[in-house]
Order: sequence, then C-alpha cells, then structure tokens
Amino acid sequence: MTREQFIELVAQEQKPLRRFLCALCGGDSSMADDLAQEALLKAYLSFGKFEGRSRFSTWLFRIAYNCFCDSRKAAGKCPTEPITFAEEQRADSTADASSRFSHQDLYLAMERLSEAEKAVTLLFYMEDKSIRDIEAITGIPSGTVRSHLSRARQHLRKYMEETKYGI
Amino acid sequence: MASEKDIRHFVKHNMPRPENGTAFMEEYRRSIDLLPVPSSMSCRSPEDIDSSIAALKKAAGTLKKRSRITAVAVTLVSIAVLLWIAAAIGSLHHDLLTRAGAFISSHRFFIIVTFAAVVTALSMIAAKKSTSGI
Repeated sequence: MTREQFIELVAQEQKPLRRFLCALCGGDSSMADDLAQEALLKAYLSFGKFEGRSRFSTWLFRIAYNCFCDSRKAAGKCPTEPITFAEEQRADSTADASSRFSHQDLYLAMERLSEAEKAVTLLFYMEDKSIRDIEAITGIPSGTVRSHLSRARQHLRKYMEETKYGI
Repeated sequence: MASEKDIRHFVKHNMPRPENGTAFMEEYRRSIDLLPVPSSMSCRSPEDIDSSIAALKKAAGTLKKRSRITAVAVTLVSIAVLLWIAAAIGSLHHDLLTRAGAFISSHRFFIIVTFAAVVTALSMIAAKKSTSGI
C-alpha cells in the first residue's frame, strides 16, 4: 500500500472515528479531533504492524480507543471509573460552542455509565460494530462486552422512558 | 418499554456529527508530510528488495575481488623489487651475500621472532582501521 492509498483509506474512516471519539469525550469535538489526529499518526507510523487479521477500521478504532484511554490515564482518571454528572457538565463546558448543547440527550443518557460501558455502547449502537469487533477494539472479553451492553441497555431504556423518548 | 431498535434509533438520532472533514484531512496530510515514509509504504515489493540485496552483494563481491587482486599485485611487485635489490647488491659485492647468509643462519631465531612481531603488529593495525568505520 502506498502513502496516498493509506490517506484515502483514512479519509473514508475519519468521520466514524471522530464521531466515536467526540461521543467518548462528552461532545468536546476539538479534544476528539486532537485524539483522532494522534491516533491516525500512530497508525501511519505503525502501518507495518497491521497484519490484516482484522478490518482496517477495527484496527484504527483500536488505536484511537487506546489513545483515548492513555489521555484519560494522563489526566489521572481510570477508564473504568463512572463519570459523574458534574464531570460530564464540566467536560461539556470545555467543548466548543457549536457542539456544547448538541446531542445532550445521548451524553445525559450515558452519564452514569463507566467509560468502558460507554465505549462498548457507542461501538455497538452508534458504529454498528459486532461483539467480536468490540472485543478487538477495546480488549474487553466478549462476555464482559455483553454484560456492559446489558447494563447500558437498562440505563438507556430507563432514560428513554423518563424523557420525551418514552414509548 | 424501548426495544433494541428504539435504542439504536435513539443513539443514531443523537450521535454527534463531526464537521470540517476536509480541514481535518488537510491537517493530517500536513502532519504526515513532516514524517518519514514508513518502509511498509515505500512501494517496494519483496522482489525489489531481493534484487537490491543481490546488487549490494554483487558490489561487495566486486570490491573484495578488486582488493584481493591489488594485494597480490603489491606483494608480487615488492618481492620482485626485493629480489632485484638483492641481485644488484650480490653482483656488486659477491662476498656480501655469503656474509648475509652466515648472519641469517646464526641469528635466525631473532629474525623469525622480529618478522612475526612485525606481521602481527601490521595485521592488528589493519584490523583496527577496518573496524573503526563501523
């Protein structure tokens, strides 16, 4: 694969990757874009390690998720620790004006989930990834992925019933 | 109660929609322009790499052969010069050869040791010079 072909592939994958990171970062699109740039540069430099056992997008998502976890660790927060509502609001206040109040429902619905649960939920419902792909991206065993999804499902159902989305 | 389909619809309806994809990719392109091209993207097939290795081996072989020929030629020339000097001295002073022969036979032990020491010293200097560039 040439450099240009790699850039073309990245151009196709950048949107879902940035969307996933943006949702993980609580709507902070500039932080998400910084993480996406970091992840894609890492992918460019380590492309030789890509063995083709998973899809290219899965490999990119894995690098991006690792970058996100590293940034959380650097900020002194464990990725498995649930985000509190106050922290969620604080995160949102750092987001740029255009994205600050957009998609609040999604962030509010997932506010009491741990970051691992959030990641699993976003990958499953937002990015339509399979359990196997989620296992490859997050490194969480498939059984744990299923239990995270089950918990997230309960939370989302409860949230939807309490809000305008109630069926 | 919300179904699986409703949850998926809710997430998709509320998901963030990143903008400025072109600007993002331009920035990415600018960043990777500053980085070296990884070997995995250098457009070189395994055949190209093999042929480059073969060409390198061939060049190294040619250099070795040339050095060997030069070394043999220098040795032959120095022996010829030595013999010519010995012959010249012998023709001028016949008795000098006899005396030189007697001297060599009486001091042969010292001559052999000196010769071995000189050869060892020269080879060590040569080895040191050849490895200093690595």
